[in-house]
Order: sequence, then structure tokens, then C-alpha cells
Amino acid sequence: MALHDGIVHYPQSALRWTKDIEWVRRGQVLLTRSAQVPCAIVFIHGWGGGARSTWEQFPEMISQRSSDLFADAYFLEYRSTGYAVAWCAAMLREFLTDLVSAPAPTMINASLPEGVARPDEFKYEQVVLVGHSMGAVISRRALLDMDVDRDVLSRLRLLFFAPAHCGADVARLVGSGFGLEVLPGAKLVSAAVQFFLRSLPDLEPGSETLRRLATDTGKVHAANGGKAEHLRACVYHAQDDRVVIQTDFEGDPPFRPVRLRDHRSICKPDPEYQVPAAALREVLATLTKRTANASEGRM
Amino acid sequence: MTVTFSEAALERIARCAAVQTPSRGPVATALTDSFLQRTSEVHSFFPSVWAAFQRFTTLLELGVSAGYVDLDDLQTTDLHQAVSALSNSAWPDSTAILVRELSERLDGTAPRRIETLDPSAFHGYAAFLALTEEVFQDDEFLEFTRPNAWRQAQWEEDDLHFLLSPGHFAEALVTGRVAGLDAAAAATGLRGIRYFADLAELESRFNSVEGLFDKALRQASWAHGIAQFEARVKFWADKSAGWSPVGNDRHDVRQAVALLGKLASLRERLIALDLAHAVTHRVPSPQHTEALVESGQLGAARAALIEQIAGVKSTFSMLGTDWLLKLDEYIALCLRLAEIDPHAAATRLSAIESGLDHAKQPEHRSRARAVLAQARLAFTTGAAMPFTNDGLGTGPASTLFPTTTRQLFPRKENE
Repeated sequence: MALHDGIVHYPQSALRWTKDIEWVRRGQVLLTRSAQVPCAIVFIHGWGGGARSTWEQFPEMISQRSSDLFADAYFLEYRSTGYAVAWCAAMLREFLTDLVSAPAPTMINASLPEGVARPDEFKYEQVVLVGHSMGAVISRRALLDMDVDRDVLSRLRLLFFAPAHCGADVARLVGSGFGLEVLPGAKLVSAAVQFFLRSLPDLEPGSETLRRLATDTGKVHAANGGKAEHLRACVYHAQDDRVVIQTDFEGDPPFRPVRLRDHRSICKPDPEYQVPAAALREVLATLTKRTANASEGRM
Repeated sequence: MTVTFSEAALERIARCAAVQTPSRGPVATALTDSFLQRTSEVHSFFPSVWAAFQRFTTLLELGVSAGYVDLDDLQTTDLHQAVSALSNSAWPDSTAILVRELSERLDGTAPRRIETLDPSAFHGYAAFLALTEEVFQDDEFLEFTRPNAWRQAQWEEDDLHFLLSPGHFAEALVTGRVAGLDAAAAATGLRGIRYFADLAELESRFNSVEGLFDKALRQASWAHGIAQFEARVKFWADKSAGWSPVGNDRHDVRQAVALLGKLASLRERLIALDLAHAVTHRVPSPQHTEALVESGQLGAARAALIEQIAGVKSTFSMLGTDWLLKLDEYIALCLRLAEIDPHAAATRLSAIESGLDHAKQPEHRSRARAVLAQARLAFTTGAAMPFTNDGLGTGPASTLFPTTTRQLFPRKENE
């Protein structure tokens, strides 16, 4: 038996999006060796996070659970500290539009090893956006603003870990995002940093950005009979999270509590902590069920 | 056309090694070819070619050991020739052993693949590659850890600009400058801490294969300057501990201690492998502490006193039965600390309470007992409860000690 017979993905490598304007310049991608992959999982880090540092354990989790998490994985990395939430969301919207409409020519083939390609008409049946902290805010904003047909939206789902969609203790967010943990005086620096950065006011409780996010989400839910499934996020909050406000967001089901984790460690799966894997499996299962029902409906 | 995992992995490793000189087309072949073309030339003429190829070969050896690459799946004729040349060349450094091991695999005198795949080591290596790539893309960090950048007096002077206050540090972090002076090191250092912490965390993923983590540490030459890096970061932590006159948040202090502990463990591991060298730690002098008090930096003075006390205490075990020679010095430092933070002083005095009678200076005995008695009284009456931060600040001390420490321990006129 060859050494790599059981390995489902090509090595994790740089994400190359043909329309990139240095927005996801350090993104990473984990693409399956088979072109028959139905699902894409897009990971969007939070304020001050990174493609590697926020999601470090996820490539292993996805690779090892290929029987129930058979998917391509995109780990975006964007400049979260210097730009407003609206700008980050607009860039994510552009990226997602390519991902759902023409992923092979716009990102997959440029990211695959040389000599390997998927057909231009390749499309994902399901797309899950996994957001951490501020990543949750820009994910939902991007979905709200996407100009795609209803069938495409019905193939999308949101999964959030420690989302900042109800606001955050901005000082602590800064401490976590900048890695100030080594300084006993971290809180004082965090308070001072707030004067300098543009994205932070967007994440304060009651900000105009968050208020509009809730209002617009409510309107879409109302227009869809109370439940626009693509905007109903499955949310997980950590017991020891001192950064984000843990309140249910407009139209979301009640959040799931996670014990003995904090704002950062909630998205660090390990052999004992399997909540992220279970959450992804659950979201994918509901999408698969929807796809099957839709196929039956068409027959 | 099919591409095996090992072929794709080889390319991934090559791109990681040559991240600072990106090129189109197959990078592994380009790296090998350009090295072979220059093997007859003095390597100092083409340091980037040699360095990139050495990074490539050492990463590849680690990849084979982790099961990420199976050399049997690859065409290795040119690679073999190039690695042999590199192995025989005169460039001895801490990673040379990895080049030699890869050379032996390609010679056929060592296995060209591991027998069975260990998933944890396999994915740990993928994470190691991602970390390495990120580090190699971070020019500022590489400059930060470059050996000649470690003239302590120079960086202490430079860093003091942004360590003046939390506001200065924040400005440095966001803008890279403070009042027109370059202060990019603030953000670079914080990124560096994450790199080291992430490297340390890989140990658990490599543990299942004996010696693999040590091999990874050997390859990660960027981490070999950890002792100097740690000294610089600790200097920042000490300075920042003194920013708040009322002590720091307990949670923040705990986090800082845990992170510095992680760095220290990694440093010890690297030193044990002879990959890093300890730096002399400078214990703050009493004059320095008094200067801090005079300038109102009570938090920093408190931290310096605690460090001095720990320094004296660490000599007790070495002195054996002669430890009493240092007793008065120990008590004097504790009493000075009591003027800033009675609670912290009492905790340290309790360790030598049974030996107080041996203090040579009677005043030391009586004042030390008074500090201990006040601390006990405070807890009996519940007056210690206002300590909601790290319990060691000067602000709540007035609640703990209704009669101030000034009254308890009046200073001499000339102090």
C-alpha cells in the first residue's frame, strides 16, 4: 500500500484568487484530490486573526474526517484591523460570488498543483461559511448584500464561533487580536489602541453597523416567511469568553454553550474537544438533506 | 495527468523555502537546477541560492521523517546530485545534520520513506510548513531575530520610546512610529511571540514519532535566537507591569506569566539541543529600583523588588546552612516592598518566618513581624477583600492597611 493512499486532499497551499487585490494575499486552501467534491467550507477569521493562527487545527480535522466532512476548505486572511467592517464585507461578497458561480477558473485551478485542473463548469452544491468573532459580522453582511439568485442562496449556511454580531468589549478584542497577552498592562494598551483603528467602532455594542445588520437581517427573514435559512446562523459561544456579548441575534436559533473554552480556544479543536467537528457535520447534514429534498422536488 | 501527493508536497515545500523569491513554474526543479549550476562557485557569491536550497533540503528531510513525502514517488536524480553536493560543502551549521540525513536517504543507505503514516505527525508537519511559510514572509520578524540585531543596550534604548506608556505602545502598534521615531518592533515582537508559541504547541502533534519535534526545532533556525528574543520581550513585560499604579488585571497577569513560561520552556528545550544559548539575565539593581520609586513608577519598582527578592531566595539553597548570611538582605528587600505592596511582602516574608530570630538587625525582626501580623489581621477582618485585581496593587493597600505603611515604617530623613 502506498504511503498516501488514504490522504484525501492535496497539501495545504496558498490560495490564489484571480481577482484578488491583495485582499486574501495570505489565504490558504485545502483542495481534495477528487474533483467530485460537493462542498466548500470557507473560514473567515476575526479581528486581528489569521488564516493559520485562527484555524490552525482545522485542516487536520477536515482531512481526518473526510468520510463525513468531504470538502474543500478555504482559509481566508484579510486585513481586519485597518478597514471598516463594510469594506471587508464587500470584498468577501466579491470572493463568495466567484466561489458559488465559477470557482474553478477564478480560484481552484490557480491554487491546485501544476498539471491538475477541474473543469470550468465545476460548482459546489453546498457552501458553509465559518466565521469567528468579527468574521461572523462580515460573513452575514456579505450574504445580505450578495446579488445571486435564490437557488444559490439556498446552498449557503452560516456557522459562527464566538461571533461579535451583538457587539464586543473592544478593549479585550484588541488585546486578543494583537496578541497583547504577554504584557501585564495589556488592558491599558487596548484602551489606547481604540483611538487609532477604524474597524473597532463598528464592533461596539449598538453601533450603526451592527444595528443595520440586525435590521436588514430581520427584513430578509420577514420577506422569506420568517426564516431565510441562509441567514440563520448556527452559533457557539464559549463559557470563558470575555470579549463578545453573548446574546442571540435576529432570527438565529438559540446559541449553543461550550464549556471550558474562551474567545480564542473555542475554534481550536483537539482530540478531546470535538465541538467544531460536530458543528460542521451538523450544518453539512442539514444542507445535504435540503439538497436531497430539492432534487426529489425536481423529479 | 496525475500528480502524486509526494510530488505536490515537494512543490509545496519548495515554495515555502523560496517564499522570498517567488517564481513561476515548478519551484522545486528551479531551486535544484540553480543550486547545481552554482555548486562549483563560492557560495558566498550566491547566498540566497544556497540558503533557499538548504531550507528546502532541511524541510524535505523533516517532511520525509513525518511521512509527508515518500521519496520513492519522486524522480530524484538531480535532487540527489544537488543534496550530495550540499552535504559535502563546507557550510556547517545546526541544520547540516538534516542535509546529511537526506543525502543518506537519497544514497539508499537510509530508508526513502517511513513505514506507516502517523496522522498526527503528518498533519503536524503541514502545520509546521504553514508556520514556516508565514515566518519567512515576515521580513521584519526575521530582521528582529537576526543575531546582530541583539545588542541589548541598543534595543533597550530604542524600545523605551514605545514603552513609556500604554498610549505610546498603542501608537507604535498601530502606526509603527512614536512621535516620528521608528517603533515597528512593537508589532513585530508581538507577532514573534505567536510564532514561538505556535512552534511550542506543535510538540504535542509531533510527540508520537520519537525525535521528530527535536528535528523540527533543529530545522526552525529562525527560532534559535529565542533567548535574546525572550529577554527583549521580558523587558517589555516588566516595563508594562509598571504602567498602572494600581496593579494589573489578574487575568492579564496570569496570561502574561503563562505565555512567558511557554517561551522559557521552548528556550530550555532549544538550549538542551545546543541550538540556542542562554543570555545573561540582569537582575535590577537597588539603585534602579529607587529611581523607579522616585519617578513614580511604583508598579515597575514593585516588579523589580520582587525579582530581587527571588534572586536572593534562589541563593539560599546554594548556600546550604550558610543561608542565614543572606537573611538580612532578604528581609530588607521585603520591607522595602512592604512600603509599596504589603500583601506581596508578607507572602514573601512568611517563607522565612521561622528563621526571623536569626536576623542580625533587631529592627528587621520587629518590622518583618509587624508586616506579617498586619497581613493576618487584614484577612481575619476581611479587609483583604477589596483586592479584586492581582491583589498586589498600591491603591487597595490603603484599605488593607488603615494605618499606612508610611506610619508603620517611617523612612529616615535622608531616604
